[in-house]
Amino acid sequence: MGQVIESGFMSTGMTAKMAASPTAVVLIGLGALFTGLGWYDRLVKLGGMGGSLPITGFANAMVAPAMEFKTEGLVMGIGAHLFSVAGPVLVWGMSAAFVVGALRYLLTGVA
Amino acid sequence: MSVLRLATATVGVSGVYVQACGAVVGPKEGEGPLGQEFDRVWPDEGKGYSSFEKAEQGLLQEACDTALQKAAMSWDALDVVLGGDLLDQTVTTNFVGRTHERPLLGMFAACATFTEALALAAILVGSGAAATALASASSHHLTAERQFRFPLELGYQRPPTSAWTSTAAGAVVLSREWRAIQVQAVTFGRVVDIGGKDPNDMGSAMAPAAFDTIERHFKATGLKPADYTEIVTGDLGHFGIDMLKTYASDKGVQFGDELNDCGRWLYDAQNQDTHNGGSGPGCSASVFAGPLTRRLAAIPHGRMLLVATGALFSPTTYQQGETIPCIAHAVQIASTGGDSAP
Amino acid sequence: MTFVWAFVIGGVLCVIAQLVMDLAKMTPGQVLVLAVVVGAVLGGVGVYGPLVQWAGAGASVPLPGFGYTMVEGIGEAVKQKGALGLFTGGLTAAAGGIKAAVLFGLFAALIFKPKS
Repeated sequence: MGQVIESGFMSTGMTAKMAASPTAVVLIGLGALFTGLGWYDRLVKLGGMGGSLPITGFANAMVAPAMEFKTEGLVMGIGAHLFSVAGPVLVWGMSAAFVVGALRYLLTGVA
Repeated sequence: MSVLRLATATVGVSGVYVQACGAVVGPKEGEGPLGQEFDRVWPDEGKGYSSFEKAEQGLLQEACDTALQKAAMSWDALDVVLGGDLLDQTVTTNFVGRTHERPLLGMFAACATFTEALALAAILVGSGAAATALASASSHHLTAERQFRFPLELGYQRPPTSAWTSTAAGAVVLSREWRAIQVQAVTFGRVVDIGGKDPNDMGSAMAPAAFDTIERHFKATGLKPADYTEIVTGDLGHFGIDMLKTYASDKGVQFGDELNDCGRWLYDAQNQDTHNGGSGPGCSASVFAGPLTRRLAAIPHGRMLLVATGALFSPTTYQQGETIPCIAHAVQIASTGGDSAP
Repeated sequence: MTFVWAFVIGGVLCVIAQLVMDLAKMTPGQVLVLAVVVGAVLGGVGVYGPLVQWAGAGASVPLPGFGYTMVEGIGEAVKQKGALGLFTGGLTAAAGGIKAAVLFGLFAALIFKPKS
């Protein structure tokens, strides 16, 4: 499905690399929308990691807790809980990328 | 009217009667096999309240009001209210206490809260310390899930051993006026931890605690499984009840058809996707206050042991890798032949 | 042809993640973190890049692709800015996805109420 969208963007003259980012944006939008409509948890019940692993699952992991803690206000409710599940993914993802990038830079000098 | 120590934490009670019961449940519980036997079924989980926490308070309030109405009593006639729920600081019970303004003993034993409250209420009334008492427990699927597991709309798969926290509340009014059901004996449980770590398999973790309390109750009262019309556990579920049977037969106690489980009854396992069955303090409270007391009242010389089981963990202890301590409290009731069904 | 490979590779990645979750008894959150870290490492040693070329969105859309994207971003940035790129590159490459997730996430959370 992502490939269909990506190809759509590429057909407008983008390279694969350029198209990757808007593809992610569209998929994240869909993931957030489906979560809001209450469809995403059913999808994952059926497909397990097939629903959780793609970037749409990342959107689901942000929206679900934020919706749930809405009653606790805009700041500590929605604001804080957007990252309660997604936060660890970002922290460890960024840190791993940094370490890998740094090692490659040190070892090869070019990254 | 009296209370008598039979053994450690087993107390014989006489002259204490169930005046009336109230059971109110959510829509999913209403669609279950017992749906017709509750006093009231909510059309949805929120019922117009601005948060699910408030909805749970409304649920408990309705269950208590219904019980009092059936007993033809006002709140003012209650000497003491005992009860609990799953939420942090037992807010449901305490916030409902803000409305009724009766002396309140808030309790927590997770899903064993109902029998803890009922047992203590029976002792208070039986000893004469209180003339009337109300015991209650409640849970709400959406408030409990949010506190204990994952956000609602977050997609994840439940393992088959996981339980479904029920949206349900039950309340029972006790006093010394003769009625169809009397309390005969209670046994308070001790904490048992066999080292289970999986919060998605609480039935297996709780089975040994249930057995410990049942065995102690049998020893103290001199009764055996066949002496009961029904022995009903709180929320061991399909896996837990099988484990209890195996565990008991290893220790030389054979259960027959009299053994069953509120959590197993509450939902239709095939069609309602609830895996191991229902759980939560409201599960045993509503099943007892709804179907169980009514059925028992219709059986001459019926005797029932309700053993609610609780897993005493918090999200913090689970994340820190602690095992799950469990507890079970038992209340034995019997039919008196009175015709006024609770 | 890319469509077929996208489907196959995307599916295989999800199956691997599912197996890891079931067999290692990890929570979904732990698996997602692991996936991103593995993606970054595979990107660093030059394995994930060819996979993305070959399977397109089948490899870039699942979360390991997110780790890979950040490592690639760091690579690009280091070429232009030197060591500073180690700090700026990862998020620059992932900026679209993260910003979209925050914005759409916020909108969805504001508009909808949890059902059950």
